[in-house]
Amino acid sequence: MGASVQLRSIDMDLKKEIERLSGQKLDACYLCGKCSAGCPVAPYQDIPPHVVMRMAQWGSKKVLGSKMIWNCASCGTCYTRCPNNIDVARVCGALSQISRREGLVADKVAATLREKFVESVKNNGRVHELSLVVAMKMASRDYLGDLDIGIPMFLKGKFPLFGHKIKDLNNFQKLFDSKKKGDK
Amino acid sequence: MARVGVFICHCGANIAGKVDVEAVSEAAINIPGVVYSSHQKYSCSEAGQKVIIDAIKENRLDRVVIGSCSPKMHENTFRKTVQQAGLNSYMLEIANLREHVSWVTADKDEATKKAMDLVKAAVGKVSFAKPLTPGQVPVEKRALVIGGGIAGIQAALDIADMGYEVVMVEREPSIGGRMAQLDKTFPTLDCSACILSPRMVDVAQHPNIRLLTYSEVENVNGYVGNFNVIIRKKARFVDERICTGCLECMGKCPLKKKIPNEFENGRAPRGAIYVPFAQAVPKVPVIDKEYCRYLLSPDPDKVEVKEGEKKPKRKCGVCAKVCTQGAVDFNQQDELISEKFGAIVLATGFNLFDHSKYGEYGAGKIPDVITALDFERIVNSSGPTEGKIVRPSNGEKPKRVVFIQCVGSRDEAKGVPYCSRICCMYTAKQAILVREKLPDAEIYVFYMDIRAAGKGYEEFVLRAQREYGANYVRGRVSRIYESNGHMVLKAADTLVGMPVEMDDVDLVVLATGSIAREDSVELANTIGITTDNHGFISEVHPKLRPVEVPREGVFACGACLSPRDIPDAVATAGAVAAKVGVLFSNDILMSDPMVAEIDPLKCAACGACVSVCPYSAITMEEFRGKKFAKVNEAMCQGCGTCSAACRPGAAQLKGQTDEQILRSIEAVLQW
Repeated sequence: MGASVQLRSIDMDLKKEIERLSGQKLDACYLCGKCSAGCPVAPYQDIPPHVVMRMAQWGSKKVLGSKMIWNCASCGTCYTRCPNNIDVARVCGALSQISRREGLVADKVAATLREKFVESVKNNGRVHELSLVVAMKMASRDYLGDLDIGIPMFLKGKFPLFGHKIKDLNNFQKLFDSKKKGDK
Repeated sequence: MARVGVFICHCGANIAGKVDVEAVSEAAINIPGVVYSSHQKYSCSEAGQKVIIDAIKENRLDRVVIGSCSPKMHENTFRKTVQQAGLNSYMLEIANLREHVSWVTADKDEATKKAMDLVKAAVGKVSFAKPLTPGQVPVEKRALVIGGGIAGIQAALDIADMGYEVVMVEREPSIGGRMAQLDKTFPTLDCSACILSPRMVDVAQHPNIRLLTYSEVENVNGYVGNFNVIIRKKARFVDERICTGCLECMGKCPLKKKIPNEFENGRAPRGAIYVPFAQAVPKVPVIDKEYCRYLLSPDPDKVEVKEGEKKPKRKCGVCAKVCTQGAVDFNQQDELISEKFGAIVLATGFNLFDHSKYGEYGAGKIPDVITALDFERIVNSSGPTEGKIVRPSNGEKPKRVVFIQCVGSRDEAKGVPYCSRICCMYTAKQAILVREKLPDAEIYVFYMDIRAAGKGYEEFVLRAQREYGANYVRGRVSRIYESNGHMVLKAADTLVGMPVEMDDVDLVVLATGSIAREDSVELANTIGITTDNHGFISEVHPKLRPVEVPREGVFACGACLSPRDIPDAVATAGAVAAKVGVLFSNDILMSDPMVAEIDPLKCAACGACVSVCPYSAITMEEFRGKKFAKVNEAMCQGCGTCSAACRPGAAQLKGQTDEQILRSIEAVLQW
């Protein structure tokens, strides 16, 4: 999160873009905080989900620099319990897209992980775990962390050296093209 | 010798759980005068009452003590019980073993001991009870309704529809009250005038209602069923019987558009002769003597003229000249009307908080900071701007409109700790009206909490946010100021914990809270009732007797009791009408016999009782040259103040005589 920013007025352009990308009506949220209360990752983030929602209602750029929007696990607990049926995970998703475009990414590791995940799926039709982990380690420069579980997993064959590709990869990759078209 | 029966009630476990009722009952039989004692699970139940009746008959009891709950709860029940057994209903004393003992005592032995003492005292007192008979007073079946707002209108119509005569007194030139000033009403958005004016017309045309506008209640005397009221009908200077309501006079007044119109909250002008608004009832103008040139010019008949000089002429008088009916009468005087009523209904309404007390919001000096009532007039199509929402400073359309809630509500520092109940809803309504008239405007509502308890209310507030795009920000605005021709607002969004600084605010609407009418305490004193510390009329019981006030025969409805919205005002008005109907269904009222009585032989005519009586029920009389004080039994409320003040002991409260009280003290000390 950057320096302290004052809220001045609603940025309707940003607010509308978030609504379009997420498919959620932001004004439906009345800030009860039930999403934050149940969120498993919120305790480890800079701001809880309901504050993300409130900032999104303002269309405040500040929310684009939040870590929360990158670390949302998309578990859906918020959506399941929300009295107004808002899928907060989708709002976080939309915000992270805009954040990346605007160059305001606050959590580089999480962003890289997502980027590499999508890349891996695009190239193989499925995730190649080892290259994903390596990419994440390079980004975080935390080379030795998680070795305690990494090595046993490797020995059990959970991290194959070479990844598999799915059968009809060409056809699968068209999905990415069509998605792109729809986006623009 | 008295034959007293004692009945101890368990009240389930309420009393028996803390008091050893068996022990109390056994101890009671040893009190001198007691010939019978028993205990029961529920004395108030039908079975319990039968036990009491049977015991009275079998044991030839002539007095009864019941150890049970507070007499406030079941005294009446048990009075009827002993009456059924053939005793005078006042040969009964209740020892309060629940509220005074079991509920407030921790130790079981202590509780039992105290219960025994209270039973002894009750036996001592009842031993000297005398049979009492209620008095009878006739009922004057006419009601006075004070205040012609929606509450008063509803109460008057309902009472009149029951077939009783009603006189409605309204201080302003027209009835209609606050509701007439509003544009739309929440949560249905129907037009206020459209639903109100038919009722105003109903009042004017109802054969059982007499309407006295531009009038005030001056004095109230008497008691339930028989109030004597003096009403001051202020000089209108226009004869209501002749005036046709053509309003030709208004157009010709040289002061037209020169005097701020109170109805428009000062946002539009009027003349010296005026009707406050187009749908006014009655549609008869009134001349404002504070401004009228004719009335302010010296009276030629009273001016001393030197010889050779011409008599000065009265100025102006144009209205009288243009009136084809000759209805303008400059010689009219205030008229005092004395009327008799059986019931009085207060429906005097409320006022709005004066926002100039908020220096941080410009203290009323920033032109584009207006009140919610100003907004109602501005947004109304018959208001000063013909319904166009514009900035008062330059007449332009506002692009950014901010509403601030709780201005003069929930603010202890400003002396208004209570919630005004209507502001959350009317602000949501006003936000919707802004969106309807200005589709492109930005709308912000700064609030502390949204209180939308009512049918369809929460949904309405959510609609304002979701469908009409009102942006609700939780936080109290700290300051509004002007800077280089812009209005700047500072606040915090407490839900994100971030400061808000909003530039280029075009219009600020303050949701000013409800306060009591400035003269409500004076009115309460005139009628002999009380107000709470904010000036709202106090009810007898906030839950169970919400429209009755401590003076019998006087009722209150609407916002003079506490801040409330139209549905609640109308509901309480209907409740009042029902209460008046109950009162008027009696031809004769039974008065409580437990009133004061003054023995003329003992009375020293010192007048102490006359001066202390809060109900003006005691007067000095004279018989064959001897003066003495006399109590009007119908007016006496049995408070006992006179009895305490009387030095010779002439004043005695029946049922609570000095002898009875001394005997009950003696009983506790001796037996």
